[in-house]
Amino acid sequence: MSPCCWASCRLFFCSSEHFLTSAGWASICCRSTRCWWYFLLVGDVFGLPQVETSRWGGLMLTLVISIVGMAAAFPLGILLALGRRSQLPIIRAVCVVFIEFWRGIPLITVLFMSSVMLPLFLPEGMNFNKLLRALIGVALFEAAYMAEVVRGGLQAIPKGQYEAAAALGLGYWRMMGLIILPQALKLVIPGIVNTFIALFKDTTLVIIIGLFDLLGSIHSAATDPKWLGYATEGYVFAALVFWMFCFAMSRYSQALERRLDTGHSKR
Amino acid sequence: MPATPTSLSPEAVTESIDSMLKATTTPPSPPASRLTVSAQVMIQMIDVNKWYGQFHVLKDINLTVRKGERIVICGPSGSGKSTLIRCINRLEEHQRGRIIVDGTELTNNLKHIEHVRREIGMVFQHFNLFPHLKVLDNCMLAPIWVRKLPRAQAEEMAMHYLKRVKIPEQAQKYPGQLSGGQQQRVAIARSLCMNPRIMLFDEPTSALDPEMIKEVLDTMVGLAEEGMTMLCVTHEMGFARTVANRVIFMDGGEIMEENEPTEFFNNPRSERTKLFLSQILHH
Repeated sequence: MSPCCWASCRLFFCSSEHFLTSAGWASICCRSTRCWWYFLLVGDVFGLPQVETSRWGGLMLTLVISIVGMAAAFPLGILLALGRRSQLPIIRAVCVVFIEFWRGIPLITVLFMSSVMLPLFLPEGMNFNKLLRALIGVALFEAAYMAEVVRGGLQAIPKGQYEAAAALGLGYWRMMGLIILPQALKLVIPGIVNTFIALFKDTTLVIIIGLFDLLGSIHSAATDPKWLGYATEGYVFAALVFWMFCFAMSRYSQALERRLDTGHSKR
Repeated sequence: MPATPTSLSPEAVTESIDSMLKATTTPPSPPASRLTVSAQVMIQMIDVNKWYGQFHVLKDINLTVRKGERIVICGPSGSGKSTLIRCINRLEEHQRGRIIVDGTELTNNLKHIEHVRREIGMVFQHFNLFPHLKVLDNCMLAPIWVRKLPRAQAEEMAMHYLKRVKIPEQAQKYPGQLSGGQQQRVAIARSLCMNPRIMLFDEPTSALDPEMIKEVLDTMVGLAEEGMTMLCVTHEMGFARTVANRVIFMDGGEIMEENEPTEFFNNPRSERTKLFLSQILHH
């Protein structure tokens, strides 16, 4: 893993005391191997029946889409932001085109394309998971937004920091991963969380490709004759759940900002 | 050679040619007290030219720095002195001419550039400490990631140099909690942790309060006494007088005058140098 990814992981998972230690690494590795929840979702172990992803639904689907979306969009966004500021014209051009393309189309279009249009272009019989396609679409879409947020942070870092890092003999990736990104990402925590919150709420759009997230499940329940007349309660409950998650993210970001504050002057 | 003006006697002409030759070809011989300078050439700049767009910043700079030499570069602002020393570790790129640092020529080759940067320490006017890292981590970062030293050894070295600059008690603080003078001393310690063979100082005291200047200059004098090769852009003429082997005066992107400090201050040769010295010494 490059120092770049390492810096982003460090910012969101480890405390600052872990810097330059293997303990930081250990804690990240440890977290990434905790994939037991995947088996609980998919089943087919410990005598549990296998559950197709097309039958996943409710709050769990909302969480899966948003967490996977965040986890993929964040590092990808950082790479795109770095690429857009790269000295190499080809890399820069690719990143600019990618960002402007994905930022310019609505998420509904992305989801619709991924589930309806994409199979038309794939060879006969080749068919991959609808949920996976939606996840990829969401991740790429959010990565473009994330890239611009991170780029804002990169531009706020004084030139002297780049020069000091270069003068010490650090190469590009170490300079970015150890000096520039930790400072830039810290600056744009509010922007990053803003994007995450937007992503979390945007996951409700997956209903148009036939995936039933929390809101989708309530929506379909409201049409059930047995639940007739309880639509309002359902929607209020959904609003409450969404608010709780978003508020929690907001509080976490504020705590993170406080914890990472070193009371520095921008020099 | 321009045509000899008729008003000058042949003796005067020979004398002026002699002095020109002396100025351009033979470096001033070091006085007896400064014999630490060896013959080994550390930095060689040959006909270096640099432009910022249309603006010609450096014009045919020729400079040879030997091991253990301590050179002070002064001149009015905009004269290219910062650009000159920033070219030496390629924070600025020169467009024509050659720069050879300790046997490695600076070209577009990234490997060579990083190699040269590892051997050169640089101290900036605005310190440029890494604000998100503690003082100790600032000092340990490059030894760990560039020199690949084990953490314990890097920490030991960082503490050694922090003691040298007399602020070991600040090791666990963040740069933002330190005074300007302390921050600059941390910056010096951070550079020293890479065991550089050459130190560049780009106006290290210009952003400091008067009473903090002394603590930074004392550190630099200590470094000079240990035989470090130093190039220092500064307006501290007292420092130049006591520490430097050579003073270089720049104006308009050219080296106007180059001499050992007593001669430089007592007998400036060019009118421009005289004017500059009269302005900074008698205000």
